[in-house]
Amino acid sequence: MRSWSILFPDLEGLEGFLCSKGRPSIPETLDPWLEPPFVDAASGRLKGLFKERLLPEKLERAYFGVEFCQRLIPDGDSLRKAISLVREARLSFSFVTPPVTDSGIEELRSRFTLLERESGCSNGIEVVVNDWGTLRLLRKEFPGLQPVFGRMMNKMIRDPRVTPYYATSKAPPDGLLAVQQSSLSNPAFQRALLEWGVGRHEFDNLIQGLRLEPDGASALSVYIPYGYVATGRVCMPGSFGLPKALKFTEYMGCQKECQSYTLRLRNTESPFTNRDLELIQRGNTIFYPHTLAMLEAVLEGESSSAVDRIVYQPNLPM
Amino acid sequence: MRILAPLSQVREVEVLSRCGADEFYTGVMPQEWIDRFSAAVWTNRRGPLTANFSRVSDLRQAVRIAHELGKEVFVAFNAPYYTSRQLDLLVPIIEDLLGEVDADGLIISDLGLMLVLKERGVRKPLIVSTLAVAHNVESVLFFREIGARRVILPRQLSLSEIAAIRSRIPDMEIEAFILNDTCVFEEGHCHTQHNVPGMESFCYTPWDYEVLSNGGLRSVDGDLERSWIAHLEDYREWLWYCKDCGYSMTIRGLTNGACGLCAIHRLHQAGIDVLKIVGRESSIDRKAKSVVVVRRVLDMVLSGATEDEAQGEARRLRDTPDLCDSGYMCYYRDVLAGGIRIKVRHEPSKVDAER
Repeated sequence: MRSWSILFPDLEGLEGFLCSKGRPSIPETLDPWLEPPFVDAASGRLKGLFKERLLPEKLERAYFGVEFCQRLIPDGDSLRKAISLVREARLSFSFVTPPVTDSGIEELRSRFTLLERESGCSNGIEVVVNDWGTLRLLRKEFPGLQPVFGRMMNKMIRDPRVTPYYATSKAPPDGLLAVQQSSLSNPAFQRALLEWGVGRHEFDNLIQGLRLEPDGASALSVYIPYGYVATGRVCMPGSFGLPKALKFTEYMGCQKECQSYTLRLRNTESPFTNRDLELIQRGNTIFYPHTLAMLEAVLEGESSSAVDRIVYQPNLPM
Repeated sequence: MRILAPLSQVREVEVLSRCGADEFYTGVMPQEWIDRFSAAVWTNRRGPLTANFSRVSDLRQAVRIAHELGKEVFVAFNAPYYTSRQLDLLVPIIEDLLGEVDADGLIISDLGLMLVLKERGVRKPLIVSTLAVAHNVESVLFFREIGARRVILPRQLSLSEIAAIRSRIPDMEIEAFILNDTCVFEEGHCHTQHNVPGMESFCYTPWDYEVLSNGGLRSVDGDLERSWIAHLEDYREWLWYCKDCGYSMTIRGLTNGACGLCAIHRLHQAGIDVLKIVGRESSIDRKAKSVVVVRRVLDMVLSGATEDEAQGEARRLRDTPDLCDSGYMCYYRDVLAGGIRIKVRHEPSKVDAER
């Protein structure tokens, strides 16, 4: 049985969703990146199969936080309020965390202390981990919090320029399988993660398709309708407005330009057959929107019968 | 402090040793792997063509020569991940490399591979690849507990962050990047095919950008649009620096591009063990010249030169003051806080910052 979760990177989005007239409902309006079969191009409203599958009564959990930038880790007040809102809506809570430097580890330590206090009042608080150091911190200091292996921890190729060519009938079967599976197919890796208390693994929905083999012990999640291609500490939009010599470093501050601007990327002069490819950059991260075929593959369970949770991102997750 | 040099041909061992390399890293892409998984699926982060030994016998010879010269050779198996089917083929190859070929250790990103090798009793050193993104003390400790001897820190750390990790973990080898081939994104969080023949790297693809404001996702216009166009021009210029300054070189044949020579003094003071020169796929000339300049500055530092003296020598060796002054060529731009004047490359009349 599959459940749905919904991800909001900030309190504003979460509040808007949970505080709308009684019980939660799935947002109707999306960023206009998805293909017309799922979204009415004129109104931006969901339709068809996608809407049928996004049933509010199957919604079990809210994800809160950002995976891609430690500057966007929610402060303690926002986190406390988010937990309270989610609890009132009778949903479970997952706190999403990014890769971090040592200063980010200190911030997370403070948030985890808060989460652990709250975990007595809320069942099944999860922490979505995207950093080995964060996983160690949880194991050593916060054993009451449930770590989940975030989608940044699996390193499967997500290059939209080339992966469409991989999933063809010409591909050697073992080669294709190698880009459709992850480290999780390795029993030694599965055993170690279970020993460390990690029972759930999260994945991006991939252009070349997912062929996840259930190990019988791990639960699997897939994020829709956006995947990420690349991210890093150097943030091009975050350097906007800085003196030129100080731009494009990992340590300069930003004005959170990701909250104000989004960039559309195309390569209309590409010498290859991918001139229609359109990617999205928000902050330090490049995203790809899912196609109809990719969404169908997940919704119809082709990727794996072991996927028991869909994480729905109503907007770009930054 | 040692210099780690890239290797992909037997003859490079003696040449680079004479230039001053202390140890080597390389890769191998056996034909049986290509036959099974295709050349599009790699055994390590670099493609199969010029970055790897294709024959184990050649690698064996390179290791033998290196050992005669008293140097170690580490083999990179730092593909971002391996599936169980890949490991079925790979693990016997690795065991042969560590046994009969006598390679001195492995550079690994995938935790699953590390765990398999530990389970099988591998005792030779495991080095954590930069692709594992160990960029905090907790993550370095995590890999130490797995049994790693050394960690290669990610590129996108500042000197002070590197020094802080070193100071809190004194009993593990720490390696830092020093020359050539930087990354626009964090390499371990970039899930693109690194170099597809005939296709630019993802980050250097000439994207057309359209800037939208999040409220309503409308294109920006007016002064805001002009500011963004200028910003995107700056970005393209930075990419040009990242891309080895348009694959250019100095009149003395030293490749332009990502450089940490000015930071060697501080990296040494911080107690960093190994300086990594990037570029297994490069020509022997490029590798040799890279080793020579790093050796020269490191030797000055080791013999007691001040930071100013070492930086002065680094800039003299580079012989590209305009490129250096931009700051965009620096692996560790925070080294410029020492007082180097930063200029703008195409606008010499303007000074963006003076720190």
